[in-house]
Amino acid sequence: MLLLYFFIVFLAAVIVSFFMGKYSKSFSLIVLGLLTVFFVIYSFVKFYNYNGKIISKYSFLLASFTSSNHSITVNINFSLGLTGFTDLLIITALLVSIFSIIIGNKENGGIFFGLLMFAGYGLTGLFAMRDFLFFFIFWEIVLIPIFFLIARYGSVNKEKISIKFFIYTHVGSLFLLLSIFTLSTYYFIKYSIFTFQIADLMSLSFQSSIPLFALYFSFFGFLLAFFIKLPSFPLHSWLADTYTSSPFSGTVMLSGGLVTMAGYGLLGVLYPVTSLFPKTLVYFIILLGLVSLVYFGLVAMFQTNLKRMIAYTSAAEMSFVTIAFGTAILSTGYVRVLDLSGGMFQTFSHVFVASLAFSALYFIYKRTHTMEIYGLGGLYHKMPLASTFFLASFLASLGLPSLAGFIGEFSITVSSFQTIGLFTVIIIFGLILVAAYLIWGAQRSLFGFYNEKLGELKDLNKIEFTILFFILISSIFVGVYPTLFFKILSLYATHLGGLI
Amino acid sequence: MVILYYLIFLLPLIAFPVEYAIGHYKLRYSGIFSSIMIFLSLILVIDAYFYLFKHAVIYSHYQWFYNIDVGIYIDHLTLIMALMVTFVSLMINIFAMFYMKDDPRKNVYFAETSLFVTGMLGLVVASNLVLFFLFWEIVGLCSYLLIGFWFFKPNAAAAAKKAFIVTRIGDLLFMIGMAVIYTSLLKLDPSSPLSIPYLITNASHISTVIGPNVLALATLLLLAGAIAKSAQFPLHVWLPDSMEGPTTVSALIHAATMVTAGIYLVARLYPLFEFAAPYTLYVVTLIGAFTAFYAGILAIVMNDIKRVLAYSTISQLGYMLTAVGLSGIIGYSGVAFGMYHLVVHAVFKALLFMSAAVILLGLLELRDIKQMGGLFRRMPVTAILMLIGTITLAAIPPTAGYFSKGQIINGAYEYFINSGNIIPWLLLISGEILTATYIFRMYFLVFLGKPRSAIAANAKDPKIIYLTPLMVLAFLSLTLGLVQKQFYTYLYAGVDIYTPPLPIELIPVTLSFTGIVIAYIIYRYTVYEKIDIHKNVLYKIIKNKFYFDKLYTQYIAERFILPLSHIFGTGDKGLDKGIDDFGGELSDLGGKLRKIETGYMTYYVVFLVVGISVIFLVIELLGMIN
Repeated sequence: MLLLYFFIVFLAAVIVSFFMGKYSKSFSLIVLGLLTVFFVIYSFVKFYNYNGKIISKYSFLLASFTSSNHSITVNINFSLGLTGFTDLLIITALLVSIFSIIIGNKENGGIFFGLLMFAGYGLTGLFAMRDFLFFFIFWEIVLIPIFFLIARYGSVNKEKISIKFFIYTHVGSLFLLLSIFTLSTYYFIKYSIFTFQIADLMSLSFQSSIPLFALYFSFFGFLLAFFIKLPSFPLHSWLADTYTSSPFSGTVMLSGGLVTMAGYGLLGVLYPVTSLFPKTLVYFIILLGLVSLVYFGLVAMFQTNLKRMIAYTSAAEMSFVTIAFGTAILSTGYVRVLDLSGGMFQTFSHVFVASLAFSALYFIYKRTHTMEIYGLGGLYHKMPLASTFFLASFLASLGLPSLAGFIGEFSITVSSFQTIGLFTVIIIFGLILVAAYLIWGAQRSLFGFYNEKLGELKDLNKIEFTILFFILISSIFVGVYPTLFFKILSLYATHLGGLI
Repeated sequence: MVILYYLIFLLPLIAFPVEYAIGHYKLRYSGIFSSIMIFLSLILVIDAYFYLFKHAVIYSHYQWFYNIDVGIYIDHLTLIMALMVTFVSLMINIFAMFYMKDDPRKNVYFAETSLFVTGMLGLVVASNLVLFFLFWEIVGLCSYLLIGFWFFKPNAAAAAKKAFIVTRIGDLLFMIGMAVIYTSLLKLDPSSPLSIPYLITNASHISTVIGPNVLALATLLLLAGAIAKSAQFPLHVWLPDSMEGPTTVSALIHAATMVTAGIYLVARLYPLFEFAAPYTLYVVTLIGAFTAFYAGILAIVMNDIKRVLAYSTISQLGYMLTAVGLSGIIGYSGVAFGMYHLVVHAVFKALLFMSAAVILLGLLELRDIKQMGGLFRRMPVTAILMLIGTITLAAIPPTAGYFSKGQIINGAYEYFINSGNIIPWLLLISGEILTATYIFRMYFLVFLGKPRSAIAANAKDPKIIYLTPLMVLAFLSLTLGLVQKQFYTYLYAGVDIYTPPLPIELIPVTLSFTGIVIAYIIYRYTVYEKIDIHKNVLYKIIKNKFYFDKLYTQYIAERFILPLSHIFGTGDKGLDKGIDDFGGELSDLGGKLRKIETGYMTYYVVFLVVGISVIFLVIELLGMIN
C-alpha cells in the first residue's frame, strides 16, 4: 500500500514541478531527495529478510468480467510488486533523476525539470509494475519526456535527431506490444482468461504449451525491444547522435536511466522463460554481446568527440548485460547465480559510472565550450579538480576495482567462463580496448602541454565539486561495499535461476 | 584482537585524503602524516610478527559479495613481505620529503604514495584472490598516476599510458585465471572458491578433482598477471619507460615494492603451481631465467642512469622468478631463496634509486650518464652509498646480494643435477657477468674521470641528514647476509641449502669480478677512445631493445588496432548514414503520398469508388478461380 502512495505522491510532484518556474529545480530536488530517503528506508525494512521472491505486492482490479456459461474471465489488474532487482532499479532511477536534475541549468525553467521528473517517474513506474499493460504504458511514457528534452533543449540537429530517436525506439516498442498481445491471446485460448499479468504470461508451463511460431515471435519482439534500448550491435545507430545532441541532463537520464530498462527487460522479465530458447539463439545472443563489446570499443577509439566516446563506452559496458543474459541461460550452480546477479549489478551500477562521466564532462564543456579531444589538451594545468574527476570517471568506465563498474564486470567475466570457455579472451580484448582508448583520451585531453587557445579557465566551484564528489563517493561505496546490494540480488538470482 | 591487523593497510588509507587536503592549507607539512601512518603500520606488522610466535596464522574474513570474501590472511610469507613493504616505503617516504620539497604539488605526491602503500599492503595481506586483485589494480592505478605525476611532460603522460595498458593486459588475463579456478571448483562447491587459504591448503585435492591440466591453465593465466606486473619478458616494455616519473616513485614502486608483487603472487599461490602439471613451473623458471639474461644485455647499452637501473630491476626480478620456479625440482626451498632475494633486492635497489635521485637532484634531472663523470670527488657520500648498492647488486662478497643471489644460482645448479636441465643455470650465470658489467659501467661513467658537462662540474652532496634513510639501507645491504639461514628457516623450516662443489660455487664470484673488469674496459673505450659502434648491427639491435617496443607500439597498436578502429568507426558512420537515408526516403515517400491527400471531397469520392471497385473485382476474380 505504501508503494502505491509513493507513486501517487511522485506523480503529484511531477505535475507540480512543471509549474514551478525557476523554483522547479530546487523543488524537484527536494521532492526527489525525500522520496529517495523514504524509498531507501522502505526497502531496508522490506528487504531485511528477503526470500528472493516478489514482495510487497499490491493489486487493484480495474476490469473484471466472468461469464458463467462460457467460462470466460477477464482480469485487468493494476498490480505492483518488488523484487530485489527492481527495488535496486527504482533506487537507481531516483538517483539518476537527482543526478540529471542537479546538473541542469536553473534558467531552463519548469518544463525542463518537469520533463526530467516525468522520465524518472516513468522509470520507477516501469520497474514496479507487475502487469504487462502498465509495463508497456510506462515503457512508452519514458520516451516522451526524453523526446521533448532533445527536441527542445538539444544542440545540433535537434529536431531531426529527436525524431530519429523516437521512431527507432518506437519500432522496438511496437514489437514488444505485439509480443505481449500474442502471449495474452494464447493465454486466453488456453485458459479462457484474459490477463496481462507478467507472472502468468512469463511462466514456463504456459509458454511451453503454445505453438512454436508464436513463441518465437514473442521472443523476437521482446529481444528486439530490449536490444534496441540496451543498445546492442547492430541496433545502436540511434545511440551516438542522441547522446551527443541531447542536453547533458538528458544524456545522464538516457545513459543511466533508459538503458537500465533494457537490463531489467532481459534479466527481470524475459529470463524466466529463457530455458525455452533454442540453443542457437542463446549462442547468437552471447555472440551479439561479445561483438557489441569489441565493436563499441573499436568505434569509441575512433571518436574524437569525448561525448560520443563516452556514449559508445556506455554501450560497451551494457554489452556485459547481454553476455550475462546469454551465458546465465547455460551455466549451472553457483556460477549461474553469480552470472545473473552480476548482470543485474552491472545494470544497477552503470548509473554511477555514466553519471559521473557525463557530469564531469559537462562541467569541463561549460568552460571550454568544446568536447573535441584535439580542442582540449593539458586541462590538468588549469582545472586539476575537474580533470581528476574526469579521470576517475574514465577509470570507473574501464572497470577499475573499488569503483562501481568492477563488481559486475568481474562477476560476468568470471562466470561466463563456464559457458564460453576461453572465448572469454574476447571479453578481455574488449576491456583492453576500452582501457586503451580511455587512457589515451585522458592523455590527449588532460595531460601534456596546455592548449593555450582555451584561454584562462576556472576550476570547479564548490557546488559542482560537491555534486561530483557525491557521485564519486557513491560509486566507491557501491564498488567497495557491494554486499548491501549484491545480497538481495543474489537471493533473487538464486530464485530466478531455479536453484533453491 | 585479530581485527586490529586490518589497520595494517587501513592506516595509510587515512593518510590519502588527509595528505591531499593538507596541501591546500599547509603545503610544507605534507609528507609528515603519511610517514607517521606508514610507521604505525610498520609497528603493527612487527606486532603481528610476535603474534605469529604463538599462532600459526592470522586469518579473518567477512562476506563481500555472494561467495567472495574479504579478509586478511597473514602467515610467515605475508609477514616478511609486509615488513619489507612498510620498512622500505617508510624510508623512501622520509627521503621523498627532502626530494620533493620544492614541488608545488607534493601533497598530491604524498597522497598518492599513501594510497599506493595501502594497495601494496592490502595486496600482501589479502585473504581472497578477488580482494587481492582489487589491491593489485589499485597499485597499478597509483603506478599510473605517479609515473604521470609530472603530467606536463608529454613523455611522462605517454609512459604512464603505456604502463597502464601493458599491465592491464596481464591483469585481465589474471582475471581469466580466477575464472578458470572459480568455475572449475563448482564440482567441489566450496563456501568460498577464491579464498587464498582454501586454495593453498587444498591444492593437491583441487588438482585431483579438476585435473592438473586445467589447474595449469589457471596458474599460467595467473602467471601472465605476474609477468605483466613484474615486468618479465615479453611484457617488460613498460618498466624502462616508467622512469619518467619522480625518482622516488621509481624507487618505491618500480624497484622495491610493486614490481615484486608478481613474484609474491607466484610465491603466495605456490601450492597451486606445484600441483598443476609440471610444465607450469618449468615455464616460470624459463621466463625468469631468460628475462634475467635478456634485461642484462639491454642494460649494458643504456645511457640513461634510471633506465640502467630499470633494466637491472627487470633482470633481478627474473632471478626471483627463476628461484620460485626452481622449486618444482628442488622443493619449497626455491620459494625461500626467491623471497630472500626479493627482500635484499628491495633494500639495495631502493638504495641505488635514491642515490640516483640525489645525483639527479644535484644535476637538475640530467639523466645521461655520458654527460656525468667525476662525481666521486664532488659527491663523495653519495658515491660511497651508491658503491655499496652497486657491489650488492653485483653480488660481491660479503654483501647481502652475494648470499641471496649465490643461493639462487646454487639452486639452479641443484636443479641441473636433479633434472639434467642446465639452461636455467647457464642463463643465470651469464646474467651474473652481465650484471656486474652494466652496473659498474654505469658507476664508472658517473663517478670516475672528469666531469663531461658543466652541470656535472658543479654538483655537490646535499646535507648529510637527508641521506640518513640511504645510510640505513646501505647498512642493511651490507649486513642482511648475516640472517640468511634464519630467514630461510623462518619461511620454511625444512629448507635445503644445497652447496655445490667448490669450483662451481666459485664461478659466480669469478664472473662478477670479470664483469667489473669488462666494465672498466668499456668505460675506458667510451670515454677515451671514442670508438664509433653506432654502425654495428648487433649494437643497433640491442639499442632498439630487440625491436620489442617497436613491435608493440608501431605494429600492433598503430598498424593493427588503430586501422581496425578506423575501419569500424567509418563503417559505423556509414551504417548510421544508411539508416538516416532510409528514414529520409521513407519520409520522402510520405511527402509524395501526401500529394494525393488534396482535401477536395470529389477526389476522395473518386478514390473510394475506384477502391471499392478494385476490391470487388478481386473478389470476383477469386470466385472465378474457385
